[in-house]
Amino acid sequence: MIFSPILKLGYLKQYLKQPFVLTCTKICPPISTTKPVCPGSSGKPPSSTPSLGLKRAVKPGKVRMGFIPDEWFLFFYSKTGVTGPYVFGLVLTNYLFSKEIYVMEHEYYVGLSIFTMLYYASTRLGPGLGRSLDKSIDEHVETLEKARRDEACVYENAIKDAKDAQWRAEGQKLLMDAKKENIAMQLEAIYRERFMQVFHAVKGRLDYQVKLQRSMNRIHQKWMINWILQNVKKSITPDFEKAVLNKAIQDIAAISSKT
Amino acid sequence: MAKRFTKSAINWVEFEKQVPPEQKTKFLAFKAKADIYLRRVQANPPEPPKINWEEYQKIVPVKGLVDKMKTAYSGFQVPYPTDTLSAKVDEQWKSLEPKIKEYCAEIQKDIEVAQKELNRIKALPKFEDMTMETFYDVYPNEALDPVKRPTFWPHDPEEQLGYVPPQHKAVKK
Repeated sequence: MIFSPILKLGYLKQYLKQPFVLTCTKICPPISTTKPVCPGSSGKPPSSTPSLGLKRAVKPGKVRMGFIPDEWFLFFYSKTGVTGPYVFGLVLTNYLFSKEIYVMEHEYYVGLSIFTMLYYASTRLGPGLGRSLDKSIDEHVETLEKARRDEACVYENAIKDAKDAQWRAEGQKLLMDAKKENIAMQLEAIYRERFMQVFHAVKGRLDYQVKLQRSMNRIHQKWMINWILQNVKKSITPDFEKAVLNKAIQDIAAISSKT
Repeated sequence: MAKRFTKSAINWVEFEKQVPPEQKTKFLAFKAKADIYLRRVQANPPEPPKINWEEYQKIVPVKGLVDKMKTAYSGFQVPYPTDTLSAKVDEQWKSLEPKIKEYCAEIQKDIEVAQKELNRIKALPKFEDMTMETFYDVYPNEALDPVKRPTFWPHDPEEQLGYVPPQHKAVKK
């Protein structure tokens, strides 16, 4: 076939191991996104889950001009530089057309028109279609992931409740402390009541003595005053009374004559 | 004399949070009792109030009464009541603590089982990263299996052999 010279070259055969499709979705680019990766590659033991090997590629292999794999250009690069493959392509197509190895018959012209239409369709409508398809796929994946997340959530809740139960069980220590504190409170209350009792007893007795003393004094004073007044009243004789009254009249006359 | 009680050393708010909901009423009764005790304690001052002996010396005429009272009063030690019940509480705690440890250990086992399951689930690859073949590896029962359980396109239940729509099933029953 036309590409047998490339095949015969031998090296870089690895790139052509895949089935030969023009839209190269399966050829790994040199810097590969499809490295074999262990599931949960951050060091978790892979014993329980089967090893995945390749991860799904995010983008198809790199191509130039829509269908020619990039590796073919790189294959040429070392010998002929950047323009090599393009020149080779031009020369090849020129050879094919001029020697009528590739005959330009009716199908060719139909193909040209179809190619134009396909080109415009894919560049204009392609991205939109891609986005909507991606969206529907994302929804589907989201439902699957949600189911998995819910399962994980169940376990997380179980763990949380279990930890909660542990914490509460340990809270019983506080209960013991509270009981001891209650006992201490009762003892303290009784102690305070006791010394207040003593205090009130002593103070009561002293106060009683004070009050007793005071009331005795009051009674003595009252009787003394009464006795004094009685004696004074007795000692007022009629002469004395007349003399005092005259003196008083004189004093009043003196004062009234002054004013 | 043991340490005297001056202030409550228990954080009742934290304690309340730790009480499981089904025992809340019991807790509230307990707390009410504790409050009663506290009120009883606070009804009297922590130290006995001072008696003003000088004043009484001046006023009370009975010779020697005040002095006698003073010496007797200062010499008298109010006995602090003995604590008989703290030992019982300690005993209760001794019998309770191993039970708590046992319970916690059992719960810990449950936690570990759940944690293992959780780790297993977390370690599963994302659905986006899986191809149809790897999906078959991880979920052999749910993946399409043309060898053991072949299905007709479009691989949904309605198109397979022996499908009975739900209404017919209800009618049959």
